Amino acid sequence: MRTATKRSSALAVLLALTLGVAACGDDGQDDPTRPAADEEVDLDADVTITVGDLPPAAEPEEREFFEGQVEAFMAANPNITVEATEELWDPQTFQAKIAAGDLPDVLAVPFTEAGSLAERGQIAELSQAMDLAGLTADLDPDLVGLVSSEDGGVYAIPTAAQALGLIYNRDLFVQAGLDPDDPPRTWDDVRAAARQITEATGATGFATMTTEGQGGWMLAAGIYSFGGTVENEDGTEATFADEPAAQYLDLLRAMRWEDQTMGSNFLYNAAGLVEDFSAGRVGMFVGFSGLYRPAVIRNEMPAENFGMGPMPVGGDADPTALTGGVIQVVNPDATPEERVAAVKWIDFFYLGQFTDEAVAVAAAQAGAAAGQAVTVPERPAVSQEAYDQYFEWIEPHLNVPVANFETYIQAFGEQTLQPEPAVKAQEVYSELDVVVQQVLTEEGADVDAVLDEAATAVDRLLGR
Amino acid sequence: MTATVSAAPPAGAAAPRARPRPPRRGTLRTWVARGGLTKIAFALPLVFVFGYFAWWPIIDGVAMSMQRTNLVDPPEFVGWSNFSYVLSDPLLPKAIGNTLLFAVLALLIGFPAPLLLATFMAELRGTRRLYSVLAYLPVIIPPVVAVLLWKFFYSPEPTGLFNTVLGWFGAGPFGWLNSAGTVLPAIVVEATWAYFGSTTIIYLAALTAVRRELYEAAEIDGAGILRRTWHVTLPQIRGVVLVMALLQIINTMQVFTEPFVFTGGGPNNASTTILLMIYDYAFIEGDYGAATALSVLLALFLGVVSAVYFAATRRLS
Repeated sequence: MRTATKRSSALAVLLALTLGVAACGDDGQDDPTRPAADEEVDLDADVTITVGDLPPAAEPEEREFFEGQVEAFMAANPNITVEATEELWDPQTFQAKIAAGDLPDVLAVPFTEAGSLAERGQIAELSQAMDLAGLTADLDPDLVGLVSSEDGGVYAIPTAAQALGLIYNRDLFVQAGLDPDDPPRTWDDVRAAARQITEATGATGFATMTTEGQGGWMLAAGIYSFGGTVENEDGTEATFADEPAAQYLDLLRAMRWEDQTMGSNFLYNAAGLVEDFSAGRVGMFVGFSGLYRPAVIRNEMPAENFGMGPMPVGGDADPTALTGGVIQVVNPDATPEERVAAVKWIDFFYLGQFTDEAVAVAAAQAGAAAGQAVTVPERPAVSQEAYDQYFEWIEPHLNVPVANFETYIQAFGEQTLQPEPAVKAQEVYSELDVVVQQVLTEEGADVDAVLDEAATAVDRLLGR
Repeated sequence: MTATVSAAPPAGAAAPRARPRPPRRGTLRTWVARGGLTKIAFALPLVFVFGYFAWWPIIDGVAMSMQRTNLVDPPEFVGWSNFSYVLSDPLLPKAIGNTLLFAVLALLIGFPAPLLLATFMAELRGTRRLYSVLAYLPVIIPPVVAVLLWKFFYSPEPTGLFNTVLGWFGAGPFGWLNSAGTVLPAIVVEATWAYFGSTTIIYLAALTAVRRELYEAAEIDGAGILRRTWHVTLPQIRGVVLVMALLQIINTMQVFTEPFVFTGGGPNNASTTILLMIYDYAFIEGDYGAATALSVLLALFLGVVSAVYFAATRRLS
């Protein structure tokens, strides 16, 4: 019955919370994210770490590869024992796991979460561990900067990065008489192409995500592409209630209400939008290259129809693409020795393919055998040279039509790569969802008033 | 009636009371001899389970509403600041409005439906079991699956199920979940469909307890089905009806799954409910203090509503 389920779920939440308090009360330290500066770290001591993101049994080849790498890592580091688990990042269970002390020592987390997790002291500070472990990978210092605090603390290790761009259906482009090798570069071009697609094919010309914080994420990308910003540098105030955001929203408004090229669904999350895109019902949307995987592998869109170009440019602004990606974070309860072991594992498993040809090829082969995409071009997490070298090693095993991403890759050199808002990015995105929804579902929505209202809500959030 | 029958005590009447024993001073030994330890042994597991999994979390939840915690460090006491934070949230009035509207719509749409259906089904003879199964079927579909199914029905495209049917009559297409005006009624209709089966079964069970002689007497007096329902059925099951109404109010004030899976609270917060706000505080903002503060306020409000409701309906039931 409804009562029972509602009550029990409310209770479950409450329970999770309270167990958390109990756990905190027992093990609390002054600052669990940082080890004491003068603490001796014994690099030869026996340690055991748990690492998340073990592929499930449903993906036997990838799992076997992962387990093989665990064996190889333990052989190379006899004092470290690695226990792999299938734990994945999930915002709904992360807090309960951290409260219960069940968090793996290493877990992959979206870039967007870095600021909030570090601010809340829920991930370990790693600079000492990184020095002691001696990272072999040549990490992009800009990306490391994004997960670092002002006083030099490093809270995560970026292992994959991405820049948002315009994803488009090449088949619909051809049907609409557009050149699939020359995607729109400006928002005016996007608007014109959307009109052409809808007129010629009846499909939605351009769509955007609007829910689960992803609407706000895309709005932020749009604001940056018009030269605007979302937060001030200190992350204390909203800065988006101005001209660039208004221009972007006005463009959406015109496409939605004047051109009628945005279809009829305005409650899209990434999964829903990719579903309609893969089925040929949507011509273009802004997203990251990794969406190739759900589109082509899960939804069986023909690979040759998937195209990606650079983030469109708004007005007179410089080309700017919002970046994000995957970071590896470490459990704040980990001892200094465990942190060093965790960093060594991250370096070996996630970044090893950029320094070791054998690892790169083995990973590519396992991925290809498992029917995974090998490999979707993205903004490198390591230096460009290391990334190019990696691509050369795995070229014989590529199954992704990399040529369809050519304009996207070329643009890396020309674009400003804009990091996500530094403070409470996910929370701010969640507030911004409403802005996009309002413009797309209320014909007479007053864009300036909507932005002012959202700015007030975000200020309140940032002031908390 | 025969003397034998009339002499039998009516069901439920108290049996003749035994003469009270003189009070004896209770000593530990007599208490143990009377099985006191056994009682404790039986009660202990239950008290422990309830205490650990139900009462303690509630007390701790109330404590957390006055704390700021990252679940790693020891929590910090912050007094009433979590309460003032949630009470000054500009979204709160809208969420309260949406929740109340949902509760009212559910009461208008969802409350009479199972009652009418149960009354109708009680009139059936041979096929009642079949109809019971049919009515109960939606309940066995997991709520999230049901919502995803209805998402297809509510597709805003002209090819969506409901839009196709309405299109035959020249109406639509409607945005359903995509329009601030229709999103809540649309969710209420789905929720009614999903849950009316269990309520119907409860009403059916209550109706079997209504004595047939009353119907027969009413029929002899010339009452039709409507008057029989009004004058016999409803008064006889009003206790159940009132409890079900209260449960429904409490449930609908805590609606979460449907708006969460259907719309995430959109469009433009038109389906954001209080529980969705609590969820956002806890899982998007990681602000457990604010989440529990709002939960405590909601629990207090529902406690007051229940008390007022019981006081107001005491005479009726």
